[in-house]
Amino acid sequence: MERENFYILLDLSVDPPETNPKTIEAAIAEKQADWSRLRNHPSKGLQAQKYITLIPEIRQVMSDVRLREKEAQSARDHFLKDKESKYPAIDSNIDILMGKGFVAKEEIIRLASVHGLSESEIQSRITAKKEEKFGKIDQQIRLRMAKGYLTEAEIERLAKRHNLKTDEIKLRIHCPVRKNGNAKNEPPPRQLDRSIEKALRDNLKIIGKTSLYDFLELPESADLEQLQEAAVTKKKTLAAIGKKSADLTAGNTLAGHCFTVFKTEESRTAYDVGLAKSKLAELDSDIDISGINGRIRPEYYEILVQKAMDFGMEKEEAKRYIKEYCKRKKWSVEVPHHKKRRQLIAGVVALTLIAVVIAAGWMTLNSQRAEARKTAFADLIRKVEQEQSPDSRVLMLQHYIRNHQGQNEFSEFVEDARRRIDQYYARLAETAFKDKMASVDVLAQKDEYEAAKAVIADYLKSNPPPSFAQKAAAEISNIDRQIENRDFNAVSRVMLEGRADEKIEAIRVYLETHPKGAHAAQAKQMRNDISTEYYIFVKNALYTREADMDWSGCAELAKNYIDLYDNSYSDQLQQQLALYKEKIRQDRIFSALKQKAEDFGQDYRAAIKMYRDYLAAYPDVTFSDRIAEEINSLEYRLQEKKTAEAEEEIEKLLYQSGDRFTRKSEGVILDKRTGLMWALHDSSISLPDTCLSHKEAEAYVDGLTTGGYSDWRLPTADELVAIYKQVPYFPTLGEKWYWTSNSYSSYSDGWRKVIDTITSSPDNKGMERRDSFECGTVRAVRGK
Amino acid sequence: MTKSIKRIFGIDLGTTYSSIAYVDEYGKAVIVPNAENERVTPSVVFFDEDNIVVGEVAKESAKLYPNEVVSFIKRSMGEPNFLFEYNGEHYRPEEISAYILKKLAQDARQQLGEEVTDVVITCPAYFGINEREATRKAGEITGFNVRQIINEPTSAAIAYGSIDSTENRVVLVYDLGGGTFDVTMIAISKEAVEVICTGGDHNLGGKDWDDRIVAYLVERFQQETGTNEDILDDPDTWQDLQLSAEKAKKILSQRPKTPISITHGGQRVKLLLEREKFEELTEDLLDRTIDFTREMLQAAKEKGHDSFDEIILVGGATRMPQVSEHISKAFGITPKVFDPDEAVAKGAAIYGWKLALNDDLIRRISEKTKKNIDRIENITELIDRKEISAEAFREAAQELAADTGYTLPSVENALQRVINVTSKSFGIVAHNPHNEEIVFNLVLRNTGVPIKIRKNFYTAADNQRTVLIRIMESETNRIEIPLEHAMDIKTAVLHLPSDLPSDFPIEITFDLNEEGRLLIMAEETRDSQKVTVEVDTASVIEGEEFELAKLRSQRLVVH
Repeated sequence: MERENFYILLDLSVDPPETNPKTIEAAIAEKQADWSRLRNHPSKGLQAQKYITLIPEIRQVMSDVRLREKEAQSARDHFLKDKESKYPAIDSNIDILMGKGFVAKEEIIRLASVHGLSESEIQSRITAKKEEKFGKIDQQIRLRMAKGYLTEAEIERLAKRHNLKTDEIKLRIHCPVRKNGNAKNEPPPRQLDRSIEKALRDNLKIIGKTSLYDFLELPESADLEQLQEAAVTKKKTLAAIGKKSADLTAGNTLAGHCFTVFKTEESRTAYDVGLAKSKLAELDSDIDISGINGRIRPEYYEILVQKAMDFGMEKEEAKRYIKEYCKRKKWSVEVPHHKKRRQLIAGVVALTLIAVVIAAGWMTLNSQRAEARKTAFADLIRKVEQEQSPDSRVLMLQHYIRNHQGQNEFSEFVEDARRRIDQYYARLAETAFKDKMASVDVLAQKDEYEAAKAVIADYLKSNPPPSFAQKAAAEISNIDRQIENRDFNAVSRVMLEGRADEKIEAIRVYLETHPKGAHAAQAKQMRNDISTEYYIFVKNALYTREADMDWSGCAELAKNYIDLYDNSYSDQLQQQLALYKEKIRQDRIFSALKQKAEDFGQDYRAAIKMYRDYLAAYPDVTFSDRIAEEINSLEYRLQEKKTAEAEEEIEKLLYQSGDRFTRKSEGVILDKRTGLMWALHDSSISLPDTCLSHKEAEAYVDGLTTGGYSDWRLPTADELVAIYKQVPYFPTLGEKWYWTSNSYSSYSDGWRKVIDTITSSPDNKGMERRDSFECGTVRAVRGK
Repeated sequence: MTKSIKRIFGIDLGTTYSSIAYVDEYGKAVIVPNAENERVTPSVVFFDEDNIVVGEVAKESAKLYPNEVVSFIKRSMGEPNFLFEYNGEHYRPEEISAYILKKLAQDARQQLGEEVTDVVITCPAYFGINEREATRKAGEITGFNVRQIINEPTSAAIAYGSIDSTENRVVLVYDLGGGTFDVTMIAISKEAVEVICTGGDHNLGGKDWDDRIVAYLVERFQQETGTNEDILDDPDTWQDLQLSAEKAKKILSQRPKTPISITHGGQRVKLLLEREKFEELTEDLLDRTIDFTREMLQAAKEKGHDSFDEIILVGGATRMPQVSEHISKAFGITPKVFDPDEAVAKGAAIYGWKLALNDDLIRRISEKTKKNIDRIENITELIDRKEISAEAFREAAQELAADTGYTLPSVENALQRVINVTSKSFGIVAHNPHNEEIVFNLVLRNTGVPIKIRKNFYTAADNQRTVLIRIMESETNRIEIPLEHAMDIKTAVLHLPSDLPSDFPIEITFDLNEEGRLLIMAEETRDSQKVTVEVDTASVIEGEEFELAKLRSQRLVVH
């Protein structure tokens, strides 16, 4: 590894190089003091130690004219190289900023300040920038390897994206390839704590390595056993080096990390994931640049998402990553609005009622021989036509037919009359049909398709002539199309604005009403398109319902999804569904238990025992917490009962103490001998089954308001001795020890504080010192 | 009690805390509390204008005056290029350590009304020759007569053995202090406390646990506030977090979680640190101590010791519950936490007391037998060599017991020996047959001390006047190792008499004493003329600088 350049390390001028020995020595002395001060810095200590050991070499080089000149030259080279090494980062930032078509002046200034270059350099970089594609394939493989394997599909996708054969991709892969990823069954892999990752990076940097694999000099495909072995060997090798140096310390620390990281596959994956994600530092830098004003513009957002996808993330993952990053930074993200999807909905078919035009033809009568008959019939017809009511017309004609039926000479006219009757009937039917259709038309204009349909249905019931019946039926299917269209339009509207569940519901209703609707296929496609969106909705909803322990609700949600889709999410939910069913079952058991406990009434012990027996029989039961809660509350009630009993008991003892101790007020006992007032209840009675550390005891007395007093305090050792060791004794229930206010700090480092304690037993004269973390009882006192 | 013997104090000069102890008139080791009535004193020095403040006040001042406060100086002992600069003056680690010693001595004098002159100071078993030398120098700058530098685990074992010395047993002392980690296998019997094997890391201690918390806090602060700033660049924040982290560690040793607040640049982040997280952050550190322990056990096995009876834990950091848990899991034996803060100082005091008894017995025997015996001779060796009779010893012991009021068995106990091993290998730079420079190890680590090695060197030219010997310290068990695996600790220049021919043998004796100090003598073999040896220990304060520091220290009152 190259060592640091001393000119740079000492912050000395390089161009022209500093040569004044006094200035140089002063710089060394200053740095030596700085580094010595940082020697025990939590994160910079090692680096400082490394620099401290370099001091003799620094002095040697910087005091030798020839060596110093060489050093200055290499510093100049370094700065040149440094600039070049910055270019990829700058290019990447420029990429982002170019996304909107130009780079603003403000952005150039920002870039220049971030990268420590002049604005003109950035400008020239922008112009000189070529469309270079960097092969990021290894990086993408890496990111996917983080889960421990790659899927065939991923490899194919990679191959396609990079225009390579899958075998060529496989050559670069050092982990198992699975047919199908089953990531759905696995929670996202754990990552090492960020501070550990940072420590790893820092230490690796000190010894010039890129990863723990690099450190152990093993490929990333090495198995755990090899890695563990290598770590042990590495540590042994390091131990053989007698030099006390920062490199050695860093090496030792890393070897220690290797033991832990390569202990299990799980911890190793945690490391690998972090390693993969550290590649994202570049992306982070792009986000930083884009977030120049505390917000991410929509144009940038899309490019950032694309960038993240180039890193190998899935789209959703990329969006999430960017949003979360910005959330941490408290930047707002302006997500571009989706252009209103042009729905290829067929234009509304205009509702036009087909007018039925019936051409009526008139018949001319042949009347050569029977002019009279003819005239008579003509008269009749004239009369008939003068009649307004069609019924009368028909009656008149029927009358004529009845009178002239069977008479040959009249047959012509009878036929005519009959025809006329038919015609009148047809006209009647037509009018009726037209009337109906007109009202249907009106309803349809008002979009009241259902009502329109009902009108037609009514009409059909009236037994219309088949031709009209046919037309009416055609009209019904026409209206059905309108309804279908309308309903689908409604679905489309929901698809644009609605929540995922609303969308699903809209599609469901649509498909139920129009199982064979013209848009059924389209609706089903829409439903498929939102499978992820709906899954996210379901996931979120499950989250809230789980929090509410609404297991039936959860089960219903999951089932809804499973019924609709057969994909990886549904598989996942299928498993969850099983869990919910189990929860529901357990809920039922739990309520049965609770009922049973309630049946015991005041016999809390029996109820507690019942719960405990159940727990003993089914120790792994998932609602053990809730049982514990129940037991707690029962115990509390039991304790309340006991407290009441204890109070009675103390009352009796108080009476036996002669007149030394008397009840001053509720819960307060006055010691007439000392004038001190004592709390009737010690902490073990007022906080049943809880013992207190000294600190908690202090808090307890501070918060005490017994008898309306708020100046309760811890008693001194002498005060306690006076009531417990001198007759008549303070009433006591069972032997306990009590905290006093006499405390001693045993060690200055804060490890330990000891407190005098006094027992309530009269024959135990001794006072004991106990660690303040021990758990005991306190009796509050006030006065003096 | 009519007469008392010279009191020799035991001092535990720790990375984070120090303490001083002595053996009282009943033969029991007791800690002397400091002026603040605390039994341990933070090893922190605060340069407050013209005053030097040591201890709790200094530690508290770190938050306000981060650049004027020095902590963890022990980690830099033996580092030649560490220099603390204050008001244009430079201070070496030895001198800063001396201020801590001075504080202990001053406060003890105040408590006991007796000057502290003779002391035994402890250091980690894993300290090399330079670090030991630096520790001794620190004592000398204080103005002490440093009777001996002994190893902390040995000292803890002496204290442990003094409780019940009837039973012979082999204990593993797992010593995780504030800044260093030692693991040592020690056989305790009535006759001797014998170190079998030792190992460890001088850069692994409670502070590393603190540092992990600090790093975690920084990360969390950045996450919560969205900043990328390294808040540790601000010395105030650094010190503040360092103290919070130490406090959090201690609370987590008692409680499952602790709240911590981080304040920086007007922003404040509150969070809850849980023990589980803490253990996750530091698991590798514990794994390392276990690995060191395994390595040491392997080395012990090679020396024929393949079992031990118990593990005792000393050092404040062993209070972390995960230490015991990890050890139990790794070795299937429940370790005992033994007086973690005081055992080392008390053991040193007992050791000092034994030295004092030894001195007194020799004085008495010498008066009785009219033989002139050097005071620094070891009485056990004298009996072994039959230079004094067991009879004479018993008489002297009885007199001493009668005069001082100590019981006879405890006086006879002074015979208990302490046998140590060297924790490092040391050798010299030589040329191999390919004429490459290598290190040739003369003493391998875990060898018993004291040890004397004689070796012949040959002159390269006629009339050669000087020979330069580079003495190297290393951690390996191999005899020949590459130069880069070892560290220069001393250079010895032999000034030869004139007229020696080339290829002429010079006999050099390396004397590694029980304290782990290295003495070098040389002799030319023809006329047995002494050769003057000039030893330069570059890493340790010496010469003018040393005298100046001593002078500064004498004038100084520590607060």
